[in-house]
Amino acid sequence: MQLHTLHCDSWVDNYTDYLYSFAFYKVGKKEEAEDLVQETFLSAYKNRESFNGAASEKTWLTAILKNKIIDYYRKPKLTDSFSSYLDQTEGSFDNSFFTADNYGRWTEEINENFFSKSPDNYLLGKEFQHFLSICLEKMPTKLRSIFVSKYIDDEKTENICKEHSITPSNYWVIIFRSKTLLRSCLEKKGIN
Amino acid sequence: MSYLNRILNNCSEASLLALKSKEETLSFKQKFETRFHIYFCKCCKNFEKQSGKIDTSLKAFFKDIENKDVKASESFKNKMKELIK
Repeated sequence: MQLHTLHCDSWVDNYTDYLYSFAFYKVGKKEEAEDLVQETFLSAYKNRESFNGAASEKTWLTAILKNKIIDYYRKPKLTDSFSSYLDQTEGSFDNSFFTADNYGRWTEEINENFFSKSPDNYLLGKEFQHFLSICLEKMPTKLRSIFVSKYIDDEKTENICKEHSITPSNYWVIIFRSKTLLRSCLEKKGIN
Repeated sequence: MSYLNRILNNCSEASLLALKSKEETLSFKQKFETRFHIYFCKCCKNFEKQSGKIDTSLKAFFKDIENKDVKASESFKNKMKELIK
């Protein structure tokens, strides 16, 4: 088996954009994403002797970053607030999308739209991916940090709940609200 | 009748459970109520379909995040270069 080697002098050029966007979508704030990437580089550099070459540099650095992010979400201040955040925003979310009477029907009709009719190559193409990036940035940070975990590293629901100390039922509320906001934002992009 | 009304009109619950059912096994009752609702509800049917499209697109998006709009600044990169010299 060919072992990977470390080239510390090219880390910054090769991996900063990847690690930074990874952290940005997970924590949602520029300064905090930078701090996490900085900590990742520092601890990778300090522990470079322990790199055994089994994984690629990128995988190794990403694993270190993931652990930093888990530590970040262990801060009690951040984990306590998920369920209270959901309670506080429930009213405004429901008001925006569901009728108050009749048990909660969609307020606006959901019809076929520009992306439900599009083939996969459009969804993977530049224009739609750009819309996606705009709409992801507009999402509330708290929802996005959980929502993206599902896609960014194909994480299992159980692990996401554990890492962020949230209950499975809150997890599904977060996924549902995120999807609803994202869908509605994307739909508007098609009209503009 | 109120039971039927609830199943037929609760879009928020049906659509949430429809997302959940992609990853987890719902109870028989939940599964029945969700599919029953969606069968009669055009909006939830479209929501579910569009959600699948968004998933396809999101997976591609995150596979290639270093080439998307969010990027680290040059000043930050320079600072990092100084740090691990």
